[in-house]
Amino acid sequence: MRLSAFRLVISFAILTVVLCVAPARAQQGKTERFELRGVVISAATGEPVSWALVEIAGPEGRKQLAGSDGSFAFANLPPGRYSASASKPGFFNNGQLGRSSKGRNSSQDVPSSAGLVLKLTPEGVIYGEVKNENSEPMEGIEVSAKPWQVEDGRRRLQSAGDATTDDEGKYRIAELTPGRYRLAYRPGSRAETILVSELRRKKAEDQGYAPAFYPGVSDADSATAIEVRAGAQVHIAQALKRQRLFEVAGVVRGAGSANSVAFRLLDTGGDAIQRSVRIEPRSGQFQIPAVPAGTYLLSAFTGDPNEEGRLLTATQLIHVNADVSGVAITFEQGASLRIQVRDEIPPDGTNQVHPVSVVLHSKEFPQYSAQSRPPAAEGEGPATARIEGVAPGTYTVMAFPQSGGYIAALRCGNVDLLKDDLTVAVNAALPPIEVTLRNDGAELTVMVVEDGQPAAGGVVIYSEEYPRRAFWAQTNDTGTLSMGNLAPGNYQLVAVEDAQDLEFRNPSAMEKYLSHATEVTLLPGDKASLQVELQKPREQEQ
Amino acid sequence: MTARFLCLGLLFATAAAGAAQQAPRGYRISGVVVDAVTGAPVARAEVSVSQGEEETKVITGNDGRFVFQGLEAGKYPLFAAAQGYVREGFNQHGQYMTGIAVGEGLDSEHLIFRLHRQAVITGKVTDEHGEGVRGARVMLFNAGGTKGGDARSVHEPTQTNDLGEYRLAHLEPGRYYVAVQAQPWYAQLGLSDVPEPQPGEDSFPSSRSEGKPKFDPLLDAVYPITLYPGVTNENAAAELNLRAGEKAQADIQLAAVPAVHIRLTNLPAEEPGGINIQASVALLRSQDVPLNILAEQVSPGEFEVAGLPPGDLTFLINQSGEQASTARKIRVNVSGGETLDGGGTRATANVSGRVIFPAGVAGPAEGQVNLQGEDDQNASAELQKDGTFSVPAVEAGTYKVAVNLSESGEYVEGVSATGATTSGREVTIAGAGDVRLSITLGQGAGEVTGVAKLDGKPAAGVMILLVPDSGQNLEEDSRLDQSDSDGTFALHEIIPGKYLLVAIEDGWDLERSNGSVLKPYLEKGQAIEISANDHRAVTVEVQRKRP
Repeated sequence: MRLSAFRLVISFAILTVVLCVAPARAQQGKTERFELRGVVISAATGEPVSWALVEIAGPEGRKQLAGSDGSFAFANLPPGRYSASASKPGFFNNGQLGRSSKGRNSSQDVPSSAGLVLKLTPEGVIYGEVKNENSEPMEGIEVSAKPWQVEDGRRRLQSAGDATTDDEGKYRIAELTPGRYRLAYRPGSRAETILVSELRRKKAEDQGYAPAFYPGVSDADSATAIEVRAGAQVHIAQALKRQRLFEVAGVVRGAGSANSVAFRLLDTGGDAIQRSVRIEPRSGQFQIPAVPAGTYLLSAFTGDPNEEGRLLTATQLIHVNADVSGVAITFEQGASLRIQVRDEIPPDGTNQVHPVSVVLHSKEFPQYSAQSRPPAAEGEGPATARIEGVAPGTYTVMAFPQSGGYIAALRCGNVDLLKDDLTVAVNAALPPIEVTLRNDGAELTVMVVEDGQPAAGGVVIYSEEYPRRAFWAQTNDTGTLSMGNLAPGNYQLVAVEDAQDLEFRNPSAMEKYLSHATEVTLLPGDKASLQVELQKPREQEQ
Repeated sequence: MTARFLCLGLLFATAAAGAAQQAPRGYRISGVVVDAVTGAPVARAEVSVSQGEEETKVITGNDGRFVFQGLEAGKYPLFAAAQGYVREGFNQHGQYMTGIAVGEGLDSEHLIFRLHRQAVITGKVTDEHGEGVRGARVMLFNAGGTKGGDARSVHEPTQTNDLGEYRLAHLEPGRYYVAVQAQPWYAQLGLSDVPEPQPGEDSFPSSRSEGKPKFDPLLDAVYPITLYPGVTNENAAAELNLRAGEKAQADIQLAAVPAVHIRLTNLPAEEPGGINIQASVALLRSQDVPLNILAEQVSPGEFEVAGLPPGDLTFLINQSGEQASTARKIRVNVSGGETLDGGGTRATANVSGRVIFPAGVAGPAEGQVNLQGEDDQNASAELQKDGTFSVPAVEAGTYKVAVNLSESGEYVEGVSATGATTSGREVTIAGAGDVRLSITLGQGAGEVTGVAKLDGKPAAGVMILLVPDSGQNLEEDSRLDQSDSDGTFALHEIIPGKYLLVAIEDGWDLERSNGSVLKPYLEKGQAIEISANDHRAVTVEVQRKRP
């Protein structure tokens, strides 16, 4: 009995010692250290995501892998506010999805009793087979997933990913963000210019496969949208049909040496048709084989031997529904537009030049645009900029001051280019494009609010009277946006969370928002400041 | 006339050779495409014939037959492809095939085009967690190579898809190795700048560079190159033996290991143009596979190399000067933390000299003088306008001298030197000092054309081999061709000298690099001496393959 009591006393004493030491050790470090715990889950299913890479930033920066159950714990952290993000192949985090700052960062104070939940959005996949009209697999077809995306208020077909069919005709396109896609098929082909000594008469009727969109149409506008949700694997099978292909023949003039001529055949979808073009250097005659029916912009490029580094281009519009012959491409004789700048900015004694860049966007060929070349030498002022070799067609003209000033007026003869489009006719001689620059613009500060609270978002500065003046800009995190040098006039301000996706160059897309827009009239030299209510996104046809 | 009528009436597209301009000669190429193993005709095969850049295609019917008409006299390469088969040239062996000779008195019909059913290898690459590895580089090697020789890479490397799966199709029957190169997706490549923890400091000191997150050391990981069935040791790699039409599954699991860091010392601290360090792994004794590494100078003359796998590695250190560059290779086995001597503690010589052009040839255009040493020690220098060159800091060793000129046609005829010994086209540098080289160029490579005959009749598909009589410089100076359908062959760019010419029926399976295998044939070969600009026409007797 006595022995056990003695042992009991000893063990109690030891226990006490241990307990006293432990807290003392914790205080040995300079500051207290804490843990940040959390879990990574799928934004689609809520299930944990295994082995994601988690990065935290704050008083200290760390990176480590989470576990198979999605959980992570960073130990030994100094207290403070940390932001965290996760990443893993096959997933997108909010930063990668390009979300507005509202949902972008997950933050946590340390220490905290709550665990941090990081969400990853699983990728979408489009996969399937491409077969020909005999149900045989087609190899070497390039399949691409193309979403409509808005860039500078204009809707364009972009490419989100592509794959080439293997010997079984199979393909997989992964890493797709949730959205709607058109699927484009392009049979593989080479493009090169072949010099021949003598062009041959065309062979018998050519048949082959033309580029197409799911479910088998030739242009993007008739294509069916494929909806890809987060984590979805969408299966699309396609049969391509043989069709008649045609030859486009003609002659290239003014090239100097036809040895260095390159061709580009652009379809209305904006892609270049790759073909081996045969050209006879002496006469400049050329043949482009196997062209599917459609409308194209045929461009030829050559380096001018007189001026190093200057690339000459000439562009023609052609319609192909039978063999085409006699296409004449002449360098230096396409529509050439002069750009005249009326610089009304008062001189400030520094002799500063105010160059302007002018861009023509084709309406028929959405991916095609022509840009003015800056003046070639120092001595030439901005007044002698030109745009060469513009193909016939209709164009939206935009002007951008390169250093200071705003576009007060933009005209071509009688056409007010801030309101209307420019029509370039075949063989037409056009008056110069006149650009008037001033710098007595207005300053505007916009504060975006939602239910009385400041809200971050994007603002479209829209002009009903001069649609070409429209642009968009993003507020900072507290919802404020300041701009200078705005052209005086009437504006309609529209604030939405994802303004970058708004097709503000398309009047019908803006209609629903304009009825709730905030109007402002700016006079030269004004300093205006106003509040704009954040609008909810309205249904758009995609 | 007859030919033009046939052209219009045909269902197939043919080369309607300038229908109005000249009377077409109208020769034919015809035959049947069959399965090489079963002999059965192959339907819907695409057979094509090329004339310069133009290609004419014909699709075979159920009987496997094909016909090309209206052809001008000449030689045509003939190709066939079909779904499930390898795309081949007619009677193809490696880079050589039997061209079809077409014209008066020549038989270009009744061809039997044997197509081999393709073999396919598919598989999945997974990581240590069992998840698919996307974007891994999959390489295929032909184990057969030259029967017991080293493996050859036979296919463009392919990449795994999002599931980690890959597919290698259109393979000829044979024996193969599959190797995978990938980086762990989470790997953070960085230098080991972690300082020793001071006493009293926590074990996780804050990062030295501002803003750089401190990553878990587990993230400094690499995947060594892994071979099927999942081994990093080449000797344990498993062969995939595929017959025509066979499909094999080769799954490979990768295991991450800590990355190795090493130091390279003794490198010039100031070198214009810079120092470039590359690392590679010699795979299957055949290829140097480049590694994705990080190499940075950490102190003057000292570099750290990170992101390396453990094992046998080859480092290539390139020092570029203004006029010359030298490369040095170090082969070493690393396991981590080693310090290697990267620079010139070895004695070096300053090599300079001039290149002498053959009489009547205009002065030197742009060019380079290359000294190629053993173990790929390389040194090279730009050729000056007056024909001189200068290569500083060349290490001791034996080098083959070559001159690269923008216009070819010249070859190195001889080399003489002061301060070093020469032998043929080689120079041996003993150590430090000055070496003056005189490189004489010869001009006028020769050509041998002819007919191979077996039992008095022209023989197609025969292997024609021209080998230097001396047995030296076999790799650079031998020439090879396959006889065409009319028995003709051509060998070009032959450096003048004495040679032996042999023609061997079914010789393609022979191990050409093995001297003893070729010997019995060479003894019965034809001796031939080629002088500058020689164009010889010969007839050579075909030897049957010995058992």
